[in-house]
Amino acid sequence: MDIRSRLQSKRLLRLDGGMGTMLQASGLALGQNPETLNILHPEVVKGIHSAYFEAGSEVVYANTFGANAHKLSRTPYTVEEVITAGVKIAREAAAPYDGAVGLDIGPLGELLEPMGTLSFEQAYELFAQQVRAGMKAGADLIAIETMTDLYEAKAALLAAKENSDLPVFVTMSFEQDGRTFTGCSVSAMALTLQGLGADAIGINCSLGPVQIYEIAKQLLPWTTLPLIVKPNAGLPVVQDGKTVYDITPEQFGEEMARFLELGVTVLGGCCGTTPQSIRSLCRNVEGKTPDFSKRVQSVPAAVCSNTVTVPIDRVRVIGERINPTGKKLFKKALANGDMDYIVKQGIDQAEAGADILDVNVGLPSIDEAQMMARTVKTLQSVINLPLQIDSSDPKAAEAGLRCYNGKPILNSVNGEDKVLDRLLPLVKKYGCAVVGLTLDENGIPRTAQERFRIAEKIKNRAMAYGIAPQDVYIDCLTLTASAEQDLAMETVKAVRLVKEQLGLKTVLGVSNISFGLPAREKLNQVFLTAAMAAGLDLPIINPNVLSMMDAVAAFHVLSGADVGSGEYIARFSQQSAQGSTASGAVAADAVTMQEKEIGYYILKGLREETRQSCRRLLEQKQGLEIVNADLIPALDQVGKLYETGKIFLPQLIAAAEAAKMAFEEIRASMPANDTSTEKGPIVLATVKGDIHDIGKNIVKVVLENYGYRIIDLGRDVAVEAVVQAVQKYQVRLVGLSALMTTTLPSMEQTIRALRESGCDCKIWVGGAVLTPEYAKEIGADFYAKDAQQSVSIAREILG
Amino acid sequence: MQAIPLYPHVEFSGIKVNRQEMLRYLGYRGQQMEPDLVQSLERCAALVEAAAAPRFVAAEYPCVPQADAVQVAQTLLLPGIDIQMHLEHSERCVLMAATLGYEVERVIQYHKACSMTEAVMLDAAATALIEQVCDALEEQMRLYYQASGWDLTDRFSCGYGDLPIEVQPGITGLLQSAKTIGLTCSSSLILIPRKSVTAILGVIRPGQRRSIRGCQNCKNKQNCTFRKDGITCGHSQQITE
Repeated sequence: MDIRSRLQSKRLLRLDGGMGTMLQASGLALGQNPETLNILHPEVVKGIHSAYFEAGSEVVYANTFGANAHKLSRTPYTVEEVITAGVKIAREAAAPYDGAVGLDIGPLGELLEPMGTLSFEQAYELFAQQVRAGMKAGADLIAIETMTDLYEAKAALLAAKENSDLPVFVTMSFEQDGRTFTGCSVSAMALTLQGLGADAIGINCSLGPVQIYEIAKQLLPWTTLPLIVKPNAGLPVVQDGKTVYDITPEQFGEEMARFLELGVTVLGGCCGTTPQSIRSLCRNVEGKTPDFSKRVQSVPAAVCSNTVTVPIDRVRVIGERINPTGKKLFKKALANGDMDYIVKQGIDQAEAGADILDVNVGLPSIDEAQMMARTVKTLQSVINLPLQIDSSDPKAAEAGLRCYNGKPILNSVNGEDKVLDRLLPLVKKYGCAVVGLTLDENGIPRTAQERFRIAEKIKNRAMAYGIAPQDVYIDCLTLTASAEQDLAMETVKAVRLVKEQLGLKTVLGVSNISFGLPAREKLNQVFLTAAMAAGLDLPIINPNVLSMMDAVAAFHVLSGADVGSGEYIARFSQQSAQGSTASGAVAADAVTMQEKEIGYYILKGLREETRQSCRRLLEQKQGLEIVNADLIPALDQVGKLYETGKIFLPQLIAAAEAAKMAFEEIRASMPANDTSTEKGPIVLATVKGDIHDIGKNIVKVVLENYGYRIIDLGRDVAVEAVVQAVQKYQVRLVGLSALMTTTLPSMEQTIRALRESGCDCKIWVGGAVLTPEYAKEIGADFYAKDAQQSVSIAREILG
Repeated sequence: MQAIPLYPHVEFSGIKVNRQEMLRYLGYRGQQMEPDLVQSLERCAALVEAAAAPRFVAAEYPCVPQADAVQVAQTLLLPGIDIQMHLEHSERCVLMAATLGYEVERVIQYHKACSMTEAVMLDAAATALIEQVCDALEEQMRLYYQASGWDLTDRFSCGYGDLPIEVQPGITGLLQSAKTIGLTCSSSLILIPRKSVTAILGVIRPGQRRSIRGCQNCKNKQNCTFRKDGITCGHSQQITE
């Protein structure tokens, strides 16, 4: 059977039912690896496949669900052995029925980064091994199923597409709230998996057909792919000490037939279903044809993270701040790998109301591809907004697109043939949206008409690559009004042309309009307003500028997107309320501030007051003097209070975080190359395998306040990464943390690797399970029981 | 031999973070707190309550004592004297796993990037809440057994006493916790989401119950800062040697 043409024929395709259920019924021991039966008892497995074919299944999934190297590590068998045997058994069972065989791929059983410690790349490799074995064994299709983590589903789908040419089915498991355990929504699944080139997608396991019906309905607007539904036999209940399901096989079949109303064409069963369920399914769908009237012809323009979907159905703001252009602090952060700084830029924009974040990390001195992947991974571990991968380097672009968990935007291509032909295949492969700039080898055309023609070319070329027009966003390019005044309105005109005549979404970097002129905010706002009126969908702006976000909010009222003006009213009643209290607070503070020393604010953990106080001090004295005369004594006092139990942990950290505000002020007041307030650097890392990094982060905040520059490598840090950082930054002091007895060995390995590399550094360690004795035993120079002790160690080594 | 799944009805929606417990995890010893700090604590507790989506899975299995170990079902061997004592009166035991879910994890991660002060408070709130979730679940399961003339021991988790953490994947595997509640075990044997618990409870006759929650079962006994200060962490009802 040719699966792809069968899917296209829109005829029903009948899958099998539960395998685990049947294996348990035939005596599989609890906790035993079901896939080992392919080798130990092939006849049992074959019997089950045959029973499904006999019941009416046209495709069976081979008994390979958990046949990955991770899960099989506790068995004596290899992935190749188990998969080869599994596919062979299914093939034998399929032969008399002319049936097809799916290579079944389930979750790896270990969660991926950022929540877990398995990297995306490792997950990809594990899946690729399964795919290659399945291909070789002669599977007809690949069925990735029961996924609850979109990132894992993406790794599996990429592995399937890059290591085989077989059709790929992908189904995920949802809870009744319409989300998976990891928070993935139905729309995010559909947008991402269709983009990545799945042949059919859908829902399996976790719920019965009645509950899945509601979730399948939610899926309809978001995909044009053939749909799969493979529910459990109902919801489980206990009867006489046994699990049974709340509906009978007969009811199962009846419920399954209802999916034809939704245009679902691939039907089967999951846990608890048996050949009886499938027979009932087949009987109930017999002679019926699916109704496709509820299926959509195209997917709406939208991007998503794994949890947040942003349809481009109204003006959506792209935050522009994650970009080093013209920002000395950002450049420094990139050069130092200071991810905290970059994440902070993202958080500020998210809180200011950005819908999407642009990510540009291009700097001549760094490996942009590596930095892009690291930044994307770090941002998506904290912020759930969709990202726009912004790079002119195809390697960096691909690195970002590949490791993104969702459907991102690529910024950008332009009208040059060589750019289009280099980047559009990436857009197609990773299923992202793309920004097309209306310029080509001849530069930016002056007239709207000429820019329109380039937009048209980009659209046509994208479609030729199989990219849907709703995924092409055109940037008609803002020119500086001070230099080319007569072209300002040409841009607005071009936006209108592209929007109306090509029907494409439009994007525009707005702030460039005011370059070189005073009161830039005013020009920006008026230009933004004019562009929105002409049909701009995606302004790229600084969302931290209130007037720009206000303009967008106001425009939503006029365009009708903000129905009943509810959002507008909420925004501005809130703003005026905030405005009055804020100014009141400032006034009250202005009185008290004069009475209080900066040390008081630090002790009380008052961040803003500390910052203000530091600003006033900077008018009187040098930064370094403030550090030594005011900040360090205050922090020492805080440390003493903590050690004597006068304050407790949150108060210690709050004080440190307040002091950090003062340090930021002082650093900002000094030239970028002045490092006189800086000591160190110190490398900090939570060791490989461990994700408990709260202790390490506290140490970091406290140490930073004593002027130490911290290179924070994060959590679950590979041994080599620590060694590399120590060598690269010529570090003399390294702090390692581990919270589990199981991760102490990787702490020991890290220490050994540092010693063997010949690094001349001292190492201190900390974490709940460590003792001074054990620290010595594994070769550390110091043990610190808390952050304050870490300060003493740093002072001893670095001064 | 078969697992008997348990589906006690547990109402989680009413469970609020126990503020005393939360403060205790933060090392609170009666220090004076500014109103700002009290507000932050409240805010963090509320954030965790809103983000938590408690889920559990539990099932009963046969258990048989072995030399210095207990065999649970066919595939799970629990080594150690302590688990043997814990299950000394039991021919059946209950394995349970509970989690607050991923959203709590995300909220804590997000705050780590904005404010460590709040991240630490959120972490403590979540630690308090998962214990309360387990208490509520344990109570319902105990009522279920008591209704048929049986009782349950306290919860015993791997990592307590001499029961090694290495049995964790065996417990999550037997319960299929990844599939049923989204709870996985990393290769370093960390439960993910982090705010999760697995435990073993023996099915016993009424009157056979005794407290196992003493410091003597704790691996951290030597380092415990609570003990040094003459109080307990909450796992232990009294300080014991």
